[in-house]
Amino acid sequence: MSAAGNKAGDPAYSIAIVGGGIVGAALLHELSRYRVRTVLLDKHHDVAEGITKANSGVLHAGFMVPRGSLKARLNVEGIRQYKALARDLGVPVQSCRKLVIAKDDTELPYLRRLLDQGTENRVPGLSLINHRQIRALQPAVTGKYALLSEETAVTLPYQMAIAMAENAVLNGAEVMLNAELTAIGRGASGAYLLHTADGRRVSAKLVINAAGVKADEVMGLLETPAETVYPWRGEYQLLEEASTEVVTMAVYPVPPQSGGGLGVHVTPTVNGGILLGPSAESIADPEDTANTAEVLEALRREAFELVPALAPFQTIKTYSGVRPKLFGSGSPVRFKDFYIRESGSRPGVVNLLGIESPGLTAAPAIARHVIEEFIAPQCELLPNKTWQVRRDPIPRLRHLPQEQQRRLWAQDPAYGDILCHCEQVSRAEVVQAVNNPLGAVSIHAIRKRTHATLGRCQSSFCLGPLSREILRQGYDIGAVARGLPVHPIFEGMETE
Amino acid sequence: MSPNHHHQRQLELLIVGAGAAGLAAAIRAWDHGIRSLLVVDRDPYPGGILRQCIHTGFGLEYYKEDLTGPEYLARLRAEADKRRIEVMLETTVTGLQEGPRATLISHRHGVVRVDAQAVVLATGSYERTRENLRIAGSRPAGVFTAGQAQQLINLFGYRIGKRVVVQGTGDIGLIMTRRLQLEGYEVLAVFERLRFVVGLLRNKVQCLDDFEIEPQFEHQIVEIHGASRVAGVTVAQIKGCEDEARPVAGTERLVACDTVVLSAGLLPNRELLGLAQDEPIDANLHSSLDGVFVAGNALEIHDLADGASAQGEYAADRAVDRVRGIPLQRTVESHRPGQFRSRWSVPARDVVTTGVVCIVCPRGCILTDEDIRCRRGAEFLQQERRDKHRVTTTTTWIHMNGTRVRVAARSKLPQPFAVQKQIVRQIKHGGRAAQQFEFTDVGER
Repeated sequence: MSAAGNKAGDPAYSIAIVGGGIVGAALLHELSRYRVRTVLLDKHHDVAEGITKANSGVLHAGFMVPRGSLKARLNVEGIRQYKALARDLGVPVQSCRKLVIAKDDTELPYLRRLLDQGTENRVPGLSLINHRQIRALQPAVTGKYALLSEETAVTLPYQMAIAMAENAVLNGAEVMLNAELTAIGRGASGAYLLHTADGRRVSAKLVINAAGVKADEVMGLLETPAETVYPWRGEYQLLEEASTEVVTMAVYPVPPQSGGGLGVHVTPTVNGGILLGPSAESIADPEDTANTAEVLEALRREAFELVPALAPFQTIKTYSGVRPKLFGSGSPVRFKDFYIRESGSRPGVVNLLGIESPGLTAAPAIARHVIEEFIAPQCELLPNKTWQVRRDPIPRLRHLPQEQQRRLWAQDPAYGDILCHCEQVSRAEVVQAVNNPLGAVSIHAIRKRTHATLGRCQSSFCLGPLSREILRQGYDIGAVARGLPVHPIFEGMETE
Repeated sequence: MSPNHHHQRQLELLIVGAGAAGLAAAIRAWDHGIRSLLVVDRDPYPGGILRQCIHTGFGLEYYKEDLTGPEYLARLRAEADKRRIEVMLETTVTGLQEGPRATLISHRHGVVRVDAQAVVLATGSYERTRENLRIAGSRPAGVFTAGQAQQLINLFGYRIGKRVVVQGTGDIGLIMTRRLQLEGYEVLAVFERLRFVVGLLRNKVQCLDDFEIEPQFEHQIVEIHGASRVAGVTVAQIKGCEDEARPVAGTERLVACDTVVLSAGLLPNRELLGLAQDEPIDANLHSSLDGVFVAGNALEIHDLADGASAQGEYAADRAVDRVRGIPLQRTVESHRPGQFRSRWSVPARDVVTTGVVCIVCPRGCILTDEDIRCRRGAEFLQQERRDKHRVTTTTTWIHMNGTRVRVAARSKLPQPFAVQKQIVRQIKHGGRAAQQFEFTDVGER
């Protein structure tokens, strides 16, 4: 059957990765270092469309997770690997440091526990400080005591996932977009046959399920899921750029006892503007990323308790992401580790369930872990001798010194054409984003790669010019529309 | 010219923004004898928002004529061109510092540093977005601000949806309510969180009353639904003002639609002032950054472009004094909002309509047989009773010397109201109706 299928033209891969979030992208990137035919399938029009584009963007040092857990090991290994990879791929990481705030003496023991846990996990750069030291570091932050973490940083997770996926593709790996998995069959040769909603099929010897909030559903295509993945929504709001002046460190409260998350925190962003959130709410539909009036109000209230001086700043954007947790709102709150195991009954299928925080930080280490534990024993991994960092990051004109801006402009005058004014994104940047190696064409794909539309006007000035640019690159108005499958911004063009 | 010439320029006066305020300021400064003068604009064509405002109602104060936005712009441009005022297009000011010193970037000249003795910021405004209205729900495609919809439809010729719900009765919301219908969209409802129509009376008459649309007052969209494209909105009754506004429990209802247009007001754009943008602007229209003046919507939101132009001239007068070394009259007074409001500007809320509202000019007289104030009003009343006629405007592509040019079309005479939609369709298809229209370039190619 499989052989017949292959004769019929089903492309055959050694490894298929399901899900193009930060974990799937890290795995694809890591595997592109070897001579092994790998494909990543994502149901969206681009990679990084799930929680990878809707989280705090914080690289955790590793003191929030208990010693001996997979989370602890992969977090502590992951943060170093992430920072090194980001440097290679030209993805911004901003070392911001972090304060976990104890409001009063009753919360102090919690900070001590975190400090001990961090020490056990061999996290460097941790110290307990008092209110005077807090004020000296961050005059706008309230609180009596704080745990200070030197290693904590912020990054742009979606750009990291994009960079890894694009660099992997340039090194020979493959990405299939708009490829929603509907069934997994088995060929005679033992390979798995993956069927997509639009009728495509690929065969693969190994299947890595990194489908995030849908990972239990994907596992369910083959067997009873080992764990249920419970969707927990986290709502965020981004304050206007001027808020950046108020606070430069990530500021966290002592987490709520509900166990839903790390608590509403205040986080600087690489891109400017302070992020408030997230909430933690167990929801029914893993794809329900709506915002609610009550939570948005609560976010401001709770965040302003930590940093009152943020109160006057306007919210320019709200969004939410859905965490894949291994417990629901009804189940008892207890620590749940990452579930990363090969299926007992379906050999060659590795399921990654419950990759929530610190999943972003741990992603590169998760990729190494999966390769060493599950892939290497079943698949010959010869080095890809031509592998290199092939992807040139899109320069961010706005953040470059004038001399460099002049040099870029001398190479390509389109750097002088600003299309998105709030974020000062040039046409040259947009053109590079449109012609990305993944073939992901849409306003959203441009947004994630260049930050166009993310500023104060929220695209009210630049949607037209950006769409026109997509057309000028040889796509029709349908591309703007179909880019996000069934996400049509425009019905079409008026009759000429 | 040395290459350095491109990197650095010394000017007497730099004007940022070539819209209603900026161009008027430039013309005025030139007439005061300023020759070392540069106007920069980020768009490929001057005019700012005037380009997309293809409806009439412009220029009654400034030109004593009822013009469309593009026609008003054409007048301003002709004046500027006559004086050979340098307008640098597709040029963005990326920074403004003490000095004043500005950094410009453009594809033609790259990065250029400009030292000026004075700067007039005429950078217009932002639209308030769904975040400003605190509208919850999902974030599907199909939610547009009114000015954005206006740009996409009028300048780019994109179709943005089919079945539309409008939030807000400010002038742009009213204008777009009419525009959408003339372009063949279905406007399902108009919501307003206040108790009255916010925009001008003349716009209420022509954009709502003409189409028999009754806005639902004290109502707001509170939630948007839909995964990829808007599927509908939840609307609720609203109590309280501005940030205190809250939906009344139990009044929520669902309206199915595929497009949402938000007209929630404008906010001045003074981003270039950085941290000083929230500091007061004094009675000389001078900001807290030495040598930098502000005019037009960047200073305060004007309901007619004429007011923005008048304010541009005022700012130019002060800026010219500064260039000449004439000390500005010292003032601790803040500028007086509304100082440049035109007598033509009649808000709908001030008027209880019992007769026919005259829309010949924005003054909005209420005409009855006993009270007719001018000849044009008398003619209007007669015609209105016989067969409602309206000046019809739209946009279309035309071909000129092999180039596709986007133009605003305006009927030379008022057209029968009942056939406006057909006329608009004809214009787009190059039908015979074109002979009764005048066309003005809006600068898209």
